[in-house]
Amino acid sequence: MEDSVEYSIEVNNLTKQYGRITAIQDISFSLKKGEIVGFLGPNGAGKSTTMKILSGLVTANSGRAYICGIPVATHPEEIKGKIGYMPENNPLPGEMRVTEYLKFRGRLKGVSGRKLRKRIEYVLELCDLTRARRRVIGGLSKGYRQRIGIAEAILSEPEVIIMDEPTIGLDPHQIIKIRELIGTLKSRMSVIISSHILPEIELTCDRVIIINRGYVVASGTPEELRKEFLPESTYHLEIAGSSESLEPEIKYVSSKLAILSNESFSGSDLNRVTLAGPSDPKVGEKLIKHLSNLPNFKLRSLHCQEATLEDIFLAATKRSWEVNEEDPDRLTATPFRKPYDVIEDEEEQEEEEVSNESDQETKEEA
Amino acid sequence: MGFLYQWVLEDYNRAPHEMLPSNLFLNMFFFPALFIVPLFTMRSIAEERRLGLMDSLLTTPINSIELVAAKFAAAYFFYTGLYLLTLAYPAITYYYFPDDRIIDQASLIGGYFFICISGLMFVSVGIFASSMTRSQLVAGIFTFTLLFGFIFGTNTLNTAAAERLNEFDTLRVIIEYLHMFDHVRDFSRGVVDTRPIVFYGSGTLLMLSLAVLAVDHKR
Repeated sequence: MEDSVEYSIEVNNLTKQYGRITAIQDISFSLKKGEIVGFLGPNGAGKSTTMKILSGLVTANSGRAYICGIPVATHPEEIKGKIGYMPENNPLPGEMRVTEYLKFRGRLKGVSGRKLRKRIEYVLELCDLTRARRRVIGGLSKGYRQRIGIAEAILSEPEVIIMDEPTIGLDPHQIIKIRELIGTLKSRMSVIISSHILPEIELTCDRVIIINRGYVVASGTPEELRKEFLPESTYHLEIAGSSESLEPEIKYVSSKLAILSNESFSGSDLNRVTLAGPSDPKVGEKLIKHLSNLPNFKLRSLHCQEATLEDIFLAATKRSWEVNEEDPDRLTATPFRKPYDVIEDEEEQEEEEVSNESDQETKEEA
Repeated sequence: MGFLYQWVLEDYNRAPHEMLPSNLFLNMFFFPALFIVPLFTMRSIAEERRLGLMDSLLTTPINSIELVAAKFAAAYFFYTGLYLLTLAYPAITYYYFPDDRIIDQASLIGGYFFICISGLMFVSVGIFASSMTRSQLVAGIFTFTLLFGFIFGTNTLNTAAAERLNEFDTLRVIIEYLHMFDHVRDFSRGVVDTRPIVFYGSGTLLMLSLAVLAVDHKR
């Protein structure tokens, strides 16, 4: 118990079934205090189910979930005082005024009197809602409503904030504002956010957990996942001149580089070439140096693009789908676990073996 | 309810009656209740669920028992408040016709006590119906049906039982125990019987417990 308190959220082998449908299967992960984690997955992957279990709304069939070291299943009342939950679609009562709603929610959460008034002023300021404080919620735009949801979630200064799709349906300006807002929570509160807007997650979150068909398929910082799933970078080149002798020259720079596409434009000698190669800054330097010294090419531009979180997401979820096609009777995807998931030592070894096996399988298929 | 009292007074104008006007009015209190209770309670839990507010309510440190109790208390106090306002009718009548026979304190206390006691169960039926569905309309119709079945169903059964069963038959005793018209008559005469109090109290607890189960189950 002592060890587990350093984690704000700890989930061990959580499984939830709705009748015959398995929503999540054997999910394990953890959040340290003050960490912001993105929780990604395609529709129906089990994100909302996991978040509902964490907030004590739904009980799991097996496994354990802890909030600040307190088991959710046996102490639901206690953990509810420690979390701020913003549900999917952020439902709000349309007939209440903004401050009236915050006051009501604050009192439900056990904050009252002067402290509540102070907190309301603080969250209104933080979420840029001061101008709309007396307005009726039903008449406010989506951006305002989302910010009211976030204000409500942080109102009682909870240790853990669980947000299900907080940026859905917002315009880019509002997304930036909400990103900044979530950024201000860093190190004070632990936040777990599920989202489809992947660049947002990459910018705000310390770590990413990707689940698919009820399994954790990837977990780590965006850099770690990049190395794991898409170690290659893409190089975009614009070259003037004949591209026929390009391939040997590129192979000369690095044997690992391969041409993905070569687009030439009629009427001009411009070629747009896309290369795939190791994600190493030296490769880019060598390419510039070598190609600019060649007499028959003129290198006009070179741009190295690292895999985005979107690419990682697609690769991680696709990998689990592909493995699954081997055995169509299985409804769930193949689990992938990183060693830093909280599992006991013995289990850890076993699971590493499992993940190695699944890696080998995918390599063989490829 | 004002029109109902006015109608009672007009009826007294036409022909003499054995009962006091307020007594007759109390005997008919369930007519407005049949409409008031569904309208008050149908929104309480069904609407929270339809708007998805149930999830966010239940992630605060309150549990389903407190939630149901609060919804019940709100509807119940409004219901009793509305009925207590009707105490003004005999008062107004007395103001214009200052005759001691117009007001019978025992009957008024007994009658309004019965409204409060039976209101517990009526409102709890509404809360239960509202906890069963997302649709306010369905909840309202369900409440109306349950209350109508209880008030008039027991009356029909009681008439049938009085004709066909002997006085000490268990079934007849049970039906008489449930027969609301008998309860109203006793209370509005100023006779406070503890058996109906137990019946409406336990009925309320049953309905509210079912509502708590429905809230927990339908998360």
